[in-house]
Amino acid sequence: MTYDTQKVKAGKEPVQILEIDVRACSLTYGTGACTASGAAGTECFNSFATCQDQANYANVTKTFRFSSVPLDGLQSAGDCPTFPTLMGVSTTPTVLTPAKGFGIRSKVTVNLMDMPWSDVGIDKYRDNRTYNPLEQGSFWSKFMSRWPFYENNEIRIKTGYLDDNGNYDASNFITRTYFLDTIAGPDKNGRVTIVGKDILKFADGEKANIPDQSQATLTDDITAGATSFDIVDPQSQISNGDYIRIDEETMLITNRVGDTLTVTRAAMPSTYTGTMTAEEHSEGSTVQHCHFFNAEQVDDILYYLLNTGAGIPASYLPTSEWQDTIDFGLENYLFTALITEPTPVKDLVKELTEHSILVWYDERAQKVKMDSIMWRAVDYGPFNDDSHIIADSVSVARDDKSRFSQCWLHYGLRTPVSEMDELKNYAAVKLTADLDAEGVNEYDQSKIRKIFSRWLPLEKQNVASEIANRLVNYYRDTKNAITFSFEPKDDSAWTGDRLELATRLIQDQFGATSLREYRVISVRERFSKGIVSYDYTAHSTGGIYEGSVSRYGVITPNSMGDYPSETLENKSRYAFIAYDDRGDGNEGFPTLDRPYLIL
Amino acid sequence: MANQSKLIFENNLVEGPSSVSYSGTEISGFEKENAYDYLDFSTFKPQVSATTNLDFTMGSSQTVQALGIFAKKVGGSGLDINVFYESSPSTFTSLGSFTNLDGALSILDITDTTSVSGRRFRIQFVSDSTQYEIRQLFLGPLISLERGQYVGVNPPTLTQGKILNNSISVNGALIGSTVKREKVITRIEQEFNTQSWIRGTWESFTSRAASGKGFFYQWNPTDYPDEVVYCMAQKVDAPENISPTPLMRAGLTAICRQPDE
Repeated sequence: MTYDTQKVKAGKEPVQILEIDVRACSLTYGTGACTASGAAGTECFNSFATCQDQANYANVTKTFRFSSVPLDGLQSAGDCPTFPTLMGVSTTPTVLTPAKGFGIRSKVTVNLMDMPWSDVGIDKYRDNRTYNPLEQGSFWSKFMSRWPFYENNEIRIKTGYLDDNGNYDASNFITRTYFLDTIAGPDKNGRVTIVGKDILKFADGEKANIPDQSQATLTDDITAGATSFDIVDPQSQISNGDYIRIDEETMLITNRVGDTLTVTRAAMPSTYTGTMTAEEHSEGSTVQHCHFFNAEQVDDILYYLLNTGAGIPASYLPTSEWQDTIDFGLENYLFTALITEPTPVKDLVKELTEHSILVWYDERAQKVKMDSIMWRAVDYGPFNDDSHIIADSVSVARDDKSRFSQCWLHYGLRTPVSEMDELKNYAAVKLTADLDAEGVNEYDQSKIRKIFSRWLPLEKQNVASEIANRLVNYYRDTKNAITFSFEPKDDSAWTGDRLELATRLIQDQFGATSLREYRVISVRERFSKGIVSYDYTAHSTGGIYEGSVSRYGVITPNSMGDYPSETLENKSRYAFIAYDDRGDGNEGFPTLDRPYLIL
Repeated sequence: MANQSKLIFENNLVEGPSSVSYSGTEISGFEKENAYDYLDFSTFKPQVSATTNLDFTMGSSQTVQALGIFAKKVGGSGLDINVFYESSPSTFTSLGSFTNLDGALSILDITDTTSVSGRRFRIQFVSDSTQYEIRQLFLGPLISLERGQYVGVNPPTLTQGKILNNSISVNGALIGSTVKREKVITRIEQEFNTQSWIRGTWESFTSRAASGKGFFYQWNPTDYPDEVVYCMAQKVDAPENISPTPLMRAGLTAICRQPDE
């Protein structure tokens, strides 16, 4: 049995499970490596907070489980049983804002009941205790004292179905992974509320900055002409070959011997076209090391920011999938920037996304996904009113506010220390306007989106042009914003996926219900009173009227066959010239197959 | 009167002993305490392919009349339990023997016995190679309600209620359904009880039940002695005097756990 086979069955019995990981010690009190020597009954609880020999603490992961119904079969030796005290799970889903930043990040709130517990599976030494744990304290009150360092621990929400005999089978469940943010309670009613956030919380400014804050300082005043000086560098953060920043001046270290630096004054990478002046600096001034991204692809920058910068493990960063996104038309996106002061990783990723890119956390795949706004083949569908969309769940809005007809992409930041939000600090602007969209026969107005990019040097005019063109093409028309709900049987499409859907609320000019393409902007799982459903919000990839969307393709190799005989993947990747028979003897593409824009 | 329901609510495996020991090898997380913690979701795994003893060294005057057992159904047929009392030092007298208890939710009569301080009750597990699991064990007095229960009492052992939620598509097709089990809830109603029974027995029962301790409930021992549920009180009514005085009425609402399917 698998989740996909069980979810389509009538009469399935849904269950939710919460798993919380904590850090625990694998040792036994006073035995082997553990040198603790307290009297019987005063032993630790194998947690760091209660450890009496913290120097030898040996960390392992311990998992606690809670379920919405009594559930056997999850517990392994050494575990607590699965506590059937899970009262409810509510989710705030990831909400994508394509090419406009991070959007809203996902969060889960879990409600649990507190209960007495015998400490079986927790306290190895309960036979020595002088109290009955069932009669003294409660599970969660004791948990908070034993594991107070719970923040950022992994928690998992598993949603699935019992098998046909009413038993648990791990393969019938899907997992969403979050990271513990807060635990509130137990309150006066014995309720405990746990909040988990998605892994991109580690990119927040309070947690991760690139470069990290330097602790190095000047030992003496230096003149504007000094090319060698001493620093104090307690964390050894300054290396030969680094750019450093002191006040408003950047320098390049050409040699370091001990704490003496030899530098090129007022130096910055050659891609910057402005001027920088060497200045005097005072003793005690911070010597901030800089990070230089030198003509790097977006996926490489993103990996550095999230892995090295935010500490997100590589297992969450699917670099081969990112590479696939890059290979689909983003090969020229080589970004360059010297980051001269600690900048939140979140802000840097947000800047990247403004270059026609999306970055989000897929809590179900447990991966940080990256995509572009480029048109690609749909992942799921078609879906319709007959067999998929739950009654009374559909509503359609028009996302008029997101539309724009011009993109002003400011690039060529003059110096790496220039303020990013001032026009005067940029050498160039790429302006792309869709005059048809602004014409009297269409929207009869211009709407402007301004982007300030530190990542594109002046020499990257072609890339600036690609990005601005793509953004205007994607946002030139008002999009349909549709919300609807699916049964679990149709829950495969998730945030960021593309799907085809037809609903009677969106019709063509003749009143026919036509199949349209959408990108899933958010998905919210609802699990309440034995009912599971998935609330989707999706934006049309094109405008509210048909025929307004083109698709991108690269020039095809000579080996490519005719359009009808080619694979969907090749049709998504390569540009085809209009076919001479679209099926009715006329020239053009078949209905619903859009024309291409050649990259 | 027929249908005088029976209860085991006083678990002398918890209330009586000064010490507990198990002769077999315990599995971490599935230790002996799980068998008498009143919680049905935690289980004790007796050692497989062995005869092992769970010994309770008792205080004085602890009466036992029945064994309440709630075992997880694992699909085996080789779990037997023998109950002994240490009638003289290191001499154990059999109080009852029961076979094939996998998945049992039962009240089993044993020889009435009252403990002497320092003597042991022994529950002996005879297990084949299947790993059995015990949800709850009670050893204590078997209490009959003073009065029969009347029409309207729901047998908590019959089909568990279920709610089916059917999803309909926009155009009216049935596109899926889920099932949610309803809680099994029962009422234990007593009317026309004597004041002495309410004070001597019912109050003892409800004071334990109201503190979150479970109990075994045999709702109709006359006609359906095999129909037993393990219960936790959900609401305990205050007893009240009724006419004709000096009789009383009392009641309790309980949430029940049926045997494993």
